[in-house]
Amino acid sequence: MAGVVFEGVSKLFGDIAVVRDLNLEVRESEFLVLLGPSGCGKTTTLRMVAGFIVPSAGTIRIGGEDVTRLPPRARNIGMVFQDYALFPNMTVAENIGFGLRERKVEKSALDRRVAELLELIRLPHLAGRFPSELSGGQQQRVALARALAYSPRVLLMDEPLGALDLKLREAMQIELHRMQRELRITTIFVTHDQEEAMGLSDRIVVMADGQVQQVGSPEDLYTRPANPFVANFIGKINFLSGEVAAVEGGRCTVRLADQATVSGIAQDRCQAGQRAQIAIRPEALRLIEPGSAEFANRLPGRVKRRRFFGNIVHYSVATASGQELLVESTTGAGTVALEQTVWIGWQPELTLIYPGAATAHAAQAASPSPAGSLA
Amino acid sequence: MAAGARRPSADHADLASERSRLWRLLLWPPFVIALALLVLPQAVFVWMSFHKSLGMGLVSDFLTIENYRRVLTDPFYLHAMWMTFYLSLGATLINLALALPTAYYLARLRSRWVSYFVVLLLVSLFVTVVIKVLALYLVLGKEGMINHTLRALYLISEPVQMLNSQLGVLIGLVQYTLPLLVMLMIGVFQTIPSSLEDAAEVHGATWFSSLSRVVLPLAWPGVIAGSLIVFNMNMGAFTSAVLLGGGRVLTFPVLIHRKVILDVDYAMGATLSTVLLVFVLLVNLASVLLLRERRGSGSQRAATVHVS
Amino acid sequence: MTGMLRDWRLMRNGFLLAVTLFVYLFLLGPVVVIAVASLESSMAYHFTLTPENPSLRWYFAIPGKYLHAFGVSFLVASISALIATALGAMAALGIVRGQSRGAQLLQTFFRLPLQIPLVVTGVVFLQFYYLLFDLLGVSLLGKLAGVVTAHVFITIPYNVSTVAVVLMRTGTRLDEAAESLGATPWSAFRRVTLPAMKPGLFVGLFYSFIISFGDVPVTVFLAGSGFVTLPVEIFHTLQFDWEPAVLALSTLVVLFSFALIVVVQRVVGLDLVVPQSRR
Repeated sequence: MAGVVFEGVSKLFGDIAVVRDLNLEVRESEFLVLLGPSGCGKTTTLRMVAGFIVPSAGTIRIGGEDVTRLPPRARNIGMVFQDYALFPNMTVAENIGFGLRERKVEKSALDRRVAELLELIRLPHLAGRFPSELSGGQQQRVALARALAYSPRVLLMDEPLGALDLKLREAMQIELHRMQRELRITTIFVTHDQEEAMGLSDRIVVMADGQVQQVGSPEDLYTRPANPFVANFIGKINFLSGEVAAVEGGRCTVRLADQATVSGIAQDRCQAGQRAQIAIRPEALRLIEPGSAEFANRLPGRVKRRRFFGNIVHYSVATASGQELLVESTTGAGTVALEQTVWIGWQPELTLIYPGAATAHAAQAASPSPAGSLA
Repeated sequence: MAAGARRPSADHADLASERSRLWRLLLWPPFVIALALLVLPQAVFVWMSFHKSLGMGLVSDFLTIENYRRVLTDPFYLHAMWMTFYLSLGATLINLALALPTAYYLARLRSRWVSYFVVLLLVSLFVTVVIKVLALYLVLGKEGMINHTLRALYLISEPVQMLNSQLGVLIGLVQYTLPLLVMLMIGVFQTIPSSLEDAAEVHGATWFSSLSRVVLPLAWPGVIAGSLIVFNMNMGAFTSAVLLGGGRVLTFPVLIHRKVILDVDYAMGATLSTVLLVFVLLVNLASVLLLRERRGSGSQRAATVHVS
Repeated sequence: MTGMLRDWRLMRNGFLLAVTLFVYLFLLGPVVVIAVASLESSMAYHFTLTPENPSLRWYFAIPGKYLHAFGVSFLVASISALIATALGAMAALGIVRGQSRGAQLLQTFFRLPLQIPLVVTGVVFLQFYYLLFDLLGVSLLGKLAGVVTAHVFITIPYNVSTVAVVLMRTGTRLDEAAESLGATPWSAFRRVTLPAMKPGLFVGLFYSFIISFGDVPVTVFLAGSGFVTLPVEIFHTLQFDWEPAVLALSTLVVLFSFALIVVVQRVVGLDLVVPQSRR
C-alpha cells in the first residue's frame, strides 16, 4: 500500500494543456474519485499515474518513490480499463494470472493466488471460460481480479462501471466498496457520474478544464461547493444572480433584478456593487404561507410544473424576474395546484453566495444534470 | 397470456423470413455465374491435361496420364516446383518480416500522417507489376542505381549481377505482394484494441511479452490468412519471374507460359497448371488444418471478441 | 531510472519507424527512379541522380499503340469492375440479408478464385475459349467479352467481402426504422440500405478496377492482336525490345493511379479501403 503524490504535474498535447499544475495527495488506503465532465483531464491524470502518458512537467510519486518516468510495468500498480481489456485469447484464470506470470511467480503459488481471487470475486466456477462467454458484470469482476492479483500498491480504475446497466452498476458499486474496504488498497477511480462518485469515495476531486476545482469528502462538496461549477456538478442546485447590496461579516445581501433581496453566506470576499451568483439546493426551498416570517429569504412565484417521485415532489416555480426555481418537498406536505401563486422561503444559512462569479452558465452547460433542465 | 404474447412475434418472424427468402433470390445470379466460371473452364482444362500433345496446338483423341507421370518424375519439373515453392515462401517470409512491423506501426500511429502513409501504400498497390519490374530494371541493372552507387563508392569494380537471377525474381516477388500484405496486416492490427496492450503493460509485461502473449496470438489467424493470400499470389506470379529471371529462373508459372505461348503444347501446359493448382490448394489446406490443430477452439473466440 | 520510459518508447518507435520508412523506400523509390529517368533524353539508360539532358521529349513520343492499349485497359477495367461489383453486391446481400444457411461456406465459395494461381486462371480461360470456339464457333480470344469475363471471375471475391462487411456493420435496424416511418420495403432499400452500402460498393469497384487494370498473368493469355491491355503491351516491350518512351508512359500511369486514389480518399475516406482481412 502506498499513497500517490502529484507535484506540479502538467500535460500538454501540442499547445493544449489537458492537465494544468496538478498538486494532489492521494492518501494511503484511500478511495479517491476523479470526477469531471469529459475532457476535463481526469483520464489523462489516471494514465499518467499508470505510466502510459509522460507528464510535460512535474513529478508523480507512489509510496514516496518518483515514478514519473518509470514504464508502467515497473510501477507495480493495478488497473481496470473502461472496456475491461480482458485478453480474449486467455481463459478467466489465465487472465487473472497474467501479472503473476510476468512476475515469474512459481506455478503452484500462482494457481493458489488465482483460486483465491476467483473466490474473492465469487466466480470460481468460471475459471476455464473465455471472456467472450462472460456477461458484462462478470468481465468487470475478472478485470478487477486481474488487477489485484499481484497485490499492487495502487489500484486505478477508468470508468469501469460505465458499460453496465443501472441495476448491475449499483450492485457493482457496493461490491467494489466492500472489496476496497477489505483490502485497504489505495484506489483512484475516474468517473463522470457524480452519484457513483458520492457513493464510492472517501474523497472526491472535481476537475474541469484540466484544473482541480475542489477536493473534499462528498459531504463537503455537497454542502460547501467551492464555486458555482462544483455546486452545479454535484447534485441539483438553483442559481439566481444579482448585485451585492450589503456586506456584514461573512454574510452578504444580494439584490435581484426585481429589487427583492436575498441574503446568504459569502463564499469569497464580497464588495457592495459587485455581481454575484446565488446558489440554493432544491431541498432548502420551502413553499410557505404568504406573510410567514419563518424564513429570512422569501420570493413570490407561480407554480409551473409538478413532478411526483414517490417520496418527494418537485415543483418548478417561476419568480417575478422570470427565473424558474426547483423546489423539492416531501410528499404529504400538502399539494399545490398549477398556476397558483405561492411564496418560497429559505434560510440564509443554506444560501451560497459567489461574488463576481459569472461562470454558472458555462458550468450549467458542462453539467450532465443541471437543475435547470428539469424545469 | 403466453400464447397471446407469442402470436405477434411469430408473425414478425414470418415477415422476416419472407424477407430473407427474397434476399436469398439475389444470391442466385452471382452464384450461378461464379460456379459456371469456376467449374466449366476447369473441367475442360483438367480434361485437356489427360491428352497427349500432337504439336501445333493439337491434342490426341485418347486419354493418357503420361503428362502427369512426366511432371511428377522428371527432375527438371520437380526442381522447378521446388524452386517455385521456395521463392514464393521466401518472398512471403520476407514480406511478413517487413509488413508486420510496418502495419503495426501504422495501425497504432495516432497522427494525421497515417492517411498519407495509406495513400502512398495504395499507390504502390495500384501500380501494375510490369511498371514495378521496369523500375527494378533501373535499380538493379548493370547500369542501375545500386551498381552505379556501389561503383561510385569504389566498393566494387565489376557490376553485381542482380537481374536474370533468383535474387532478382525474389526481389520482384516482394515488390509485387508487399503492399497488399501491409494493407491486410493493418486491418488485422486495427481489430486488436490497444487497451489490451496497455493492460498487458500495466500488469507487468514487457513490450516483447505483450506482443508474444497478447498481440500475436490474437493476430495469428489474420496473419496466416494474409500470408496465404500473398503466398498464392507469389505462386501464380510470372510477370516478375519471366522478366527478372531473364529465362534463367524457370518457375512453374514461367514454364506454363512457355508451354502454352511458345511451344503451343496445351496438354502439357494444362498438366503443369493442374499440378500447380493442386499443390497450392494442398498448401492452403495444410496451413488451415495446422492452424486449427494448434489453436483448438481458442481461435474461434479470438476471432469473435472484437464485436464490442 | 530517470529517462527510462521515454528512452524505451523512443527505441521501440524508432525501430518501427525505421522498418516502415525502409518499406516505403523499397516500394516507392523505384517508381521515383522511373519518373526521373523518363526525363532523360538519351536512348540508352544508365543511372544518374539528375537527368543530364532533361527534357519532356519522350512524353511526346509515346507510340500510338500504348495510348490505344491504355484505352483498352481503361475500358476493360471499368466494365469488369462494374459487373463484378454488381454481382458481388448481389451475392453479399443474399448472404447477409438472406441469413443464408451455410453463410460461411458461401463466403468461402466466392473467395475460391483467390486460391487459384492467376497464371492457371489465364491458361484455363484460354483453353475454355478454344473449346467454345470449336463447339459454338464463337471466339472470345482477343475480345472485350473474353477479357472482361476472366477479370470478373478474379475480382468478384473482393466485392463480395467489401459489401458483406458493410452490410454486417449496418445491420437491419436502419431498414426497420425506415419502415416504421412508413417507407415501403423497396424505398427503405433504396433510401437507406443502398446509401449505407455505397462505401462498400465504391471500395469494391476501386479494388476491382485496380486488379483488372494492372493484370498481366491472366490477360497475357487472352489478349490478342488489336486488343491488348496496357500492362501486357508493356510486358511485351520489356520481354522483347526496349522503348525509352515506356518510362514516360509509366510515369503517366502512376500519376493517373495517384489521382484516382486521391479521388477515392475524398469521396469515401480510407478506413474501408483497408481490408478487414479477418473475415
